[in-house]
Amino acid sequence: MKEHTKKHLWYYVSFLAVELTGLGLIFYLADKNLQFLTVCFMASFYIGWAILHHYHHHNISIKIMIEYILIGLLGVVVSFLVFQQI
Amino acid sequence: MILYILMKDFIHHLLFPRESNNHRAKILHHDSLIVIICLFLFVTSLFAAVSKTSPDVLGISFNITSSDLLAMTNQKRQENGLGPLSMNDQLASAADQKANHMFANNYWAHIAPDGTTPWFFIKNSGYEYLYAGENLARGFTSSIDVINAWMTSPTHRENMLSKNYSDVGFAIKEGSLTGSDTVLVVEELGSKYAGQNQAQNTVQPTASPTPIVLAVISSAPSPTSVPTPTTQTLTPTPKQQENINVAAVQNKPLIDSKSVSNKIALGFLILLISILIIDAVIIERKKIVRVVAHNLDHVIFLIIMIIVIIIISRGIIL
Repeated sequence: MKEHTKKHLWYYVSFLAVELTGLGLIFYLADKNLQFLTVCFMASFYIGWAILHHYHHHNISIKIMIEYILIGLLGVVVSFLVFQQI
Repeated sequence: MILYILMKDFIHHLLFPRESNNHRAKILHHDSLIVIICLFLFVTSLFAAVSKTSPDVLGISFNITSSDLLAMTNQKRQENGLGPLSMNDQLASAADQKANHMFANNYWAHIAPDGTTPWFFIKNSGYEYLYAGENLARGFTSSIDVINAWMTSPTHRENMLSKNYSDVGFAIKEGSLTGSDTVLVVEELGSKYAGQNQAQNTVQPTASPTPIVLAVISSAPSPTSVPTPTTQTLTPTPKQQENINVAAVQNKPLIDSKSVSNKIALGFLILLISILIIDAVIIERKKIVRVVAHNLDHVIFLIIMIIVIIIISRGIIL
């Protein structure tokens, strides 16, 4: 896992930069709907970023793409349960 | 005994990579993830339906009172060398009207979509202000959380610790706002207009959409920019008057939906992260080659989702 991280460091840096910006937005936004939209954007970015990451390293497959889509969707659905209670 | 062995085997199959699950924890397979997503959607719908039909069974548990809010606000003011605020019935009435207006028109803002400003409610309640301000909060379950959230926001803090204010009124109301049941806290701050001489040195009323809502009236007692009051929506009904007098919302349902949903969401995400880490470690040790996504990516994303949930479950201030 360490080797993998070093090899792909810049991908992770760009990913974290966008996701942390999203977190900052959620923290400062006072509108629940905008917060949820930001979560949707963060999940979409995650899926797009992951697919691009695998594509550039020539190990992309439908199975992998579906897995990222499902995990991204899961993140949105789980956060939606909490959003409903605010 | 057989049942125990079968259960143990099933849990291992579900959570750990091995031959029976093609060296990938079954819970991480596509079909399992689809089932989990559907389960979460079902639970979300169930929570919404049950909390609407039986709020005594499943609802948000909260305990916010205006007396607590006043005491805590004054404590913060005292710590900062400021005089205490006095509870004002007219400002409480204005806060109540504002809360009702927000629920009735389904908005979450200082200025209503129809342009109604907070000053309108304050003036409508009969409070002739020199300075006025408004703080809003939603989704909080205790008075201390509301005060802490306002105190950590520089603009709300400035409102709470302003020497321009001498009076305060609170409204704490439960209702449906922008698609979900919530507890709304409205704080109207003000100081009374003492006379024309005092007003000559002041500026025209300003209505800012920023959290600091500061208004100063001119010698004209009625700002011309505010909409004409509509008696039907703004005159407090006997029920509303009752709420003003109570000035507190306390609810203790059998199941606290906010706490339960937080625990379900966070518990599940932590479990999934643990499974992903264990999965990665086992596969790394066994040197098994698989065509799957990077577990590290999922772990980072899910940790970010945990932070999202922690942030949003605090409540929102405006």
